[in-house]
Amino acid sequence: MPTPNRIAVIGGAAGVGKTSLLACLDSWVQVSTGTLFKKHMSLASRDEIRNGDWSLVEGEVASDLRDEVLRALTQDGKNVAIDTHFAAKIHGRSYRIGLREMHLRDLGRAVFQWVAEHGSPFRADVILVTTEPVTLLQRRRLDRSRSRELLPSDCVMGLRRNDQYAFKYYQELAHSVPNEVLIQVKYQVVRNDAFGDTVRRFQALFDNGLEG
Amino acid sequence: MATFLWPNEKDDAIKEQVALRDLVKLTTAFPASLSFAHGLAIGTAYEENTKTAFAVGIKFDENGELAGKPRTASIEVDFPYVPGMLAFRVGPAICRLIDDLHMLPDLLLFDGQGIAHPRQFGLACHIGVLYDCPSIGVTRNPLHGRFMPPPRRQLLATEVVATDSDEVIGHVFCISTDHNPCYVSPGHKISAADALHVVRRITRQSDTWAPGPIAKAHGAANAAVRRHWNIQKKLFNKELKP
Repeated sequence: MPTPNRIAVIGGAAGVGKTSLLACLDSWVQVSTGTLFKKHMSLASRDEIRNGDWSLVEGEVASDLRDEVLRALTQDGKNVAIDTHFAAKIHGRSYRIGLREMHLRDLGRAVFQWVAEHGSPFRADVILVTTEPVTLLQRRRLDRSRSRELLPSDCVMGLRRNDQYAFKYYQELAHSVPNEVLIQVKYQVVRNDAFGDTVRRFQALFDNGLEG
Repeated sequence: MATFLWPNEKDDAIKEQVALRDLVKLTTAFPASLSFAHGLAIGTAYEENTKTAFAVGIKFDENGELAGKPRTASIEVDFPYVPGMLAFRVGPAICRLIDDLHMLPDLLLFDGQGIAHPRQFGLACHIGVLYDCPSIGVTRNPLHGRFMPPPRRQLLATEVVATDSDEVIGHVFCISTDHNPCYVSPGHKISAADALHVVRRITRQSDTWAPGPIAKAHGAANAAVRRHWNIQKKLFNKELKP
């Protein structure tokens, strides 16, 4: 069984196309922070998370996330893709970073400690998926899987805040790399304005990596 | 399909306008000839007693010929009259009207402002952005901008300029020598010059304060309000009778 050699944190505003792009990584283990939040908040739908105070369960979600990522690397022997939001609405009003810096550092340290013990070259990607606000507005409006009212400014603010905090995720993971360990941490932006083109560009990020 | 949520507090409404106004594009989405197949003129009105907003849509072609029957939508909306915030009072009714259409028109024409607005985001901009559809605003009363009125000669126009720059944000357009001019400003996906060009092309000699399609839609919306209130009054009087 080949040793896993990559993780990817793929984030962006709701509806920007992360989950659709993640279908390209069907051989990877995929962990969704939204699913973890929903589990800990006992909610019927992920849309409800944004109206509540999800920071109350953030610690547990971060702990579960770390455990699932490590299990996938160590026991399943697979690369891991984390499907997340770099920023999310809280209390239905303002935006906050998805996972606080300390949780990102803990995740980074746990993963890179395992990498250091196994001596493989390793790569971590932080990938921001983004698009034009008007494009996101139309997608959310026509998305039949979400039957809620849509506040148009959320499309603008959600994209803006995810853009703002994505680089923070990259910084925290990059800073948690131990010295003298062969780990690349890369930050990438993928614009999802036309899905067909986006899939090709997204796949290329993984075709040229350490794994074929 | 999701429905749009409309803030009902003034401060939240201003934040919504400020957040969305950067999405307005003022480059014309039409071909160079400005031809289009289907336009929709949307007139609006608000019945204060029952807090009900009405929107009436009338189809027209690129020469201003009306087509089909007017369509009406109404919905209860609790938002006060505030200059510069018409969208939050009548927008829900407009969206209900547009959501019921089989397909989006090529152009939306509103009895409201476009970018000639204190926050550069009038009704025509707001709805244009929500549906990413070219839109133009035509009104009787200016809200924002500097201008000289045109001579009273049909089809003459002068520019409306932003208060703090030289940007042309609309035009004052003389439709009839017997009426005050109207104010034309681009909403979304059309330039100020092209908005005037389209409005000029759909204007007929017999039109009064606005091109026929929007004048008719506006009149139809007011008529819908009167009918609605008359029905409500009859129902109320029926309840009062012993």
